[in-house]
Amino acid sequence: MKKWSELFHEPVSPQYSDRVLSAAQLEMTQSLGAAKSSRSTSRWAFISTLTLAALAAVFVFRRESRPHHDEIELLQHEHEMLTDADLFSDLETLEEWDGESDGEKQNE
Amino acid sequence: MKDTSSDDELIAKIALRDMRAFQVLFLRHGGHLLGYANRYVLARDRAEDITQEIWMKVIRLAPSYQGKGHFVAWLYTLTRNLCLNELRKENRLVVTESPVDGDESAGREHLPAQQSLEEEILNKENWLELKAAIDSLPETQRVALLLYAVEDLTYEDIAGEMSTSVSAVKSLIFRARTQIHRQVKNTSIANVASPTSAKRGAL
Repeated sequence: MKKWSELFHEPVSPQYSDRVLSAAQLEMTQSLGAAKSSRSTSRWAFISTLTLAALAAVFVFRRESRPHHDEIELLQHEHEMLTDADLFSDLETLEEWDGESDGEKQNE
Repeated sequence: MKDTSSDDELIAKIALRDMRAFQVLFLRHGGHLLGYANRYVLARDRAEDITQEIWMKVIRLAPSYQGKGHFVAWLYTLTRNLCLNELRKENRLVVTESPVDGDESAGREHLPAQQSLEEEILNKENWLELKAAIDSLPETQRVALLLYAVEDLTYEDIAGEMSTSVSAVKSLIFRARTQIHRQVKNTSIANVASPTSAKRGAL
């Protein structure tokens, strides 16, 4: 290959050389810019992923803790119902007691 | 001061966008690459355009380059592929020649063994004559010879590149070699008779 390349060698004109070197300079500048942009995009992608992961974690945590929350609500509700029932029961007892005491008074 | 860095060291620097490394590499191989591309397309302007594109590819591909000491081979492969694409676009690679017939193959014994083709050609004293002989070959013969002798491709690979049969490739290379032999021999004879006029003719 080396011998062949020697055989085929052609002198490079200054114009051609300038053209290639200028294009190379431009290519390097552009690719550097693209690399920076790519790095920046990667950074944003990383931040976005992190945010999404955090949101997902919160969502999962809330979902996981919901049954307990529901249980608590149910217990509270039951407690309230019990309290009302107790109250009604108390009222009935009171009414019964009142009725009884009215009868007693009438008897008297 | 001459930069003694290896091609691989330079390409590693180019990957980091070192313009100076690129300049060194270009000065080292620019002329060879241009000449090689010109052997395919036989038009200096187009060869310049093609090689400029190759050098841009070198910059773009430098970060992923893993040639490990085979930079020149890599560079030539890139060039060959691009040149062949250009020739294909213009339908310049259509093989219309028939396989070698009996009369032609009878002349085989006058040619050196095919394995020594490179030696045979490169041992010629006047490379300019040889270059002129290669350039004067018909398009398909020239391309087949370059792929065979310079790129060291097999007949099968050349047939694949040129979308033709293996026998057609053998025929192309045989004819190319015969033609080169004939032409260089004639030039050598003319050289002995009149060296100055022969050199001018080769150029």
